[in-house]
Amino acid sequence: MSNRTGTAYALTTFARVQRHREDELEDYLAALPRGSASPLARIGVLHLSRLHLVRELVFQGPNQRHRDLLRHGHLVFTATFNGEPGDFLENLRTSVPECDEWWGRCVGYPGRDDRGAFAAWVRSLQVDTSLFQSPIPTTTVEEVREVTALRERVIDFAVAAQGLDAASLQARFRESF
Amino acid sequence: MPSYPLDLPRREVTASAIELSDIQGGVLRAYTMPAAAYLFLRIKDVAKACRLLERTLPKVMTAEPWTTPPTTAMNVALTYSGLARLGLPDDVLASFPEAFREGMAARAEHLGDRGPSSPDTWDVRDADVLVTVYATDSAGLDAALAEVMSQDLEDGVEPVYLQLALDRPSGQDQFGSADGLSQPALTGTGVEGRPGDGLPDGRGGWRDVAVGEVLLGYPDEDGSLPAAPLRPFDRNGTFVVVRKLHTDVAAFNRLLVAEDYPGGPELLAAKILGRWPDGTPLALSPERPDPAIAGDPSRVNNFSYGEDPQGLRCPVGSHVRRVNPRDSEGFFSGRLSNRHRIVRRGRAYGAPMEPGRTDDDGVERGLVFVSFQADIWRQFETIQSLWIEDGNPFCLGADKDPLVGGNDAPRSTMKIPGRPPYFVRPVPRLVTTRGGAYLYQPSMGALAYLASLA
Amino acid sequence: MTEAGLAGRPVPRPRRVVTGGNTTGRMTALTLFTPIRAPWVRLLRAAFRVAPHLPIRTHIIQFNFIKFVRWTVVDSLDDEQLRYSYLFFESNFDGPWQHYIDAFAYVIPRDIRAVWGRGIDFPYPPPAEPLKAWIARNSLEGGTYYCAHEELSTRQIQSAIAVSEAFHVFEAEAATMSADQFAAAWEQFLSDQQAHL
Repeated sequence: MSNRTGTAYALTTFARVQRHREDELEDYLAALPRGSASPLARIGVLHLSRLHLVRELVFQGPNQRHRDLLRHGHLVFTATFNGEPGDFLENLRTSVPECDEWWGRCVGYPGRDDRGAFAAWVRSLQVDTSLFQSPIPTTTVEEVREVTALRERVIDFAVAAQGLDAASLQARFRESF
Repeated sequence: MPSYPLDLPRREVTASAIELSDIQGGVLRAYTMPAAAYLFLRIKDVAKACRLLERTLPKVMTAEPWTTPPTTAMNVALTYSGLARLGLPDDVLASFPEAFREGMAARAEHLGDRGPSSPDTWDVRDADVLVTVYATDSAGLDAALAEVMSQDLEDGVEPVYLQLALDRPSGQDQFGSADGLSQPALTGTGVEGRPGDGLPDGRGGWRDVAVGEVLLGYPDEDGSLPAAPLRPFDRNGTFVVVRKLHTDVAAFNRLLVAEDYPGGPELLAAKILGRWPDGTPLALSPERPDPAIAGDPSRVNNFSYGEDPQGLRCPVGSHVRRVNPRDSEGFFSGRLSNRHRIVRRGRAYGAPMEPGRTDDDGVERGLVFVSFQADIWRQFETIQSLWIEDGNPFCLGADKDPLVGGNDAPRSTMKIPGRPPYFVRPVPRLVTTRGGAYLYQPSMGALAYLASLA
Repeated sequence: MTEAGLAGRPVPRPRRVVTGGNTTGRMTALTLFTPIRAPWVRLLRAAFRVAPHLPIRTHIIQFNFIKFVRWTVVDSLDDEQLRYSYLFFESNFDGPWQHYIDAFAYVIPRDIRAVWGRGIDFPYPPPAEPLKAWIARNSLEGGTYYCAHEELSTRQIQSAIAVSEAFHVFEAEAATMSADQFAAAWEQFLSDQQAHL
């Protein structure tokens, strides 16, 4: 299934923005907190997410015979996470009320009260990913944190253990790990 | 970094197809004069400054070949504020690249100039013009500088900062190491590079670097003319990075003694730099210096890292390997390092420290780092912010360059590959930025144009 | 909607300049949305279906600075009449995008041509600079961007995974060793894993 690689899932969605609300939506997205303060940080299984508007299509130059001019702005929401999309959407619905702010400015958004309606609406926005690749297709966010922390501890120990005799080294290892 | 140790024969010079008479000297071919004065100026009165520039023009050294080496030379470069002050049209000013327009101080965060290296602490940061004077010795420099300063400045410009510099006769840097041996061999300049000066040619040999990587108006490594400002600044000019780098030699000496490195302090110093003090590359002779290599221009820079991917000979994180990765792993036989070369023309300042001394002697010493490149962001800033202030391109995570990186964190680390590997921690801060600027060094024609503006 | 069809309608507002919405920590999300010429849409779809089974995966992933990358062929958007299908591309990598493009342009230019070369006026690499100009024109940079491990590079994560796996093996094997055996085994572990430490 092209939306997946390993246990990772790539969700790609496009939602039509309500007329004349593109600027305020753009401003809202630009003002969202970043990093660990981002509303999306509340979803533990989420590796990456991007929210942005497509308001016009870039004209490629004189060899483009037809020019597509968009009538509306479209909100792109992409998410990369491990696990099932159904679980992810439920997590999104319950943990990220900010959905009401960005999808609330789009056409047809049913709100977050009804689990089924929310999930169905987001699914209706989905375009299947054609190709999805990663060098870490089965590593979860939690695992990334664990292995990173362990590596730090291993290096810390390696530094501290330099020059120790065998007995001290082993004793220290047993204390540290 | 010194130009090169005096006991190495100089690079051969032959005829060139580049407009040498329109290019300022010292870029394509290094001056051999070890003494230099960096005179930073501010423009006070534009008309008077233009008159001064006009009078000075005949004294600016060009890149034309000499038969007898000159005993003095002088060159002129301007910052963005200097160009703006002279009254260039808005569209011309806007055509200069963003990094240059912002200036080095404004980009401190990107360059890792924080904490002790922050621009707040700098001796020099805001200037309009840099006049660099070269001479064969200090006495000659004093005389040449006196002549420049005695010019009737007529309140056109005023000095903001003066930095004197003098390379050691041995060519060694403040840490007692032979850095600065590697300079890019540029196509068509008439200066023959040594093997290893150029780029890996994919067949175990070397080819010259396209001169457009340094000089605007000539094809670069991508095969086209580099992005350049509008005329007359689109040709025969180059961008200059100047950084006053204070070196804490005592801390370096302390590090060598305090670390219980199994290979000993001399080897530790070599592992940090990537060369032995005499210039022998670790890549060629990992266990001891080799005068036969160090004294041979066809060998001293003729090495690559393809056979040493793990860095068991020359650590992946050593200084010379970071700033010029050649064909290191991850750079695809040099294809991803070829566009990040720079020409270095700096000089040491301050009296050398007594060898091996581990306490501060109170003497200010360091390096006036000077580099020339066609694109400050792609060339200098990539080396500084991606290769020196970070380790990720080398699979070294966030580890910084052990010699020149901003190592302040208690967990600053240098990994020395080996069986087993050795970890130097903490790596102390050895180099601190004390000033600098981004400048543009115009062609002779562009200098004349600037002089005519007012 | 073609230009002719818009005769008499208000001129669309000029594009607001938005930047920076596609970077966070070490990460950059290069996002492109570019037209695909009609004859090639089916071929591109087929190529994507086959790609996971081809070396193309190693071609892209070999660079060790991409965390996740996706391509989506978009045939339609809600209440729009598009003459083209569009290729939506989102690549999440660590480092400046210009260096990322150098990697594509100088190391795997044929793969790049194969995927985007069916677009319009696509500047075939090498050289790299016209390709960077094309990407700069097409890069979608507004909005917001989140990465759960934004300060970690792909290489750091891969190294951590390798070290952790090897460490667990070492820890288990070392549990019953004498001090001398342990010291030798620890040295061996460090030597074997040093590229990741």
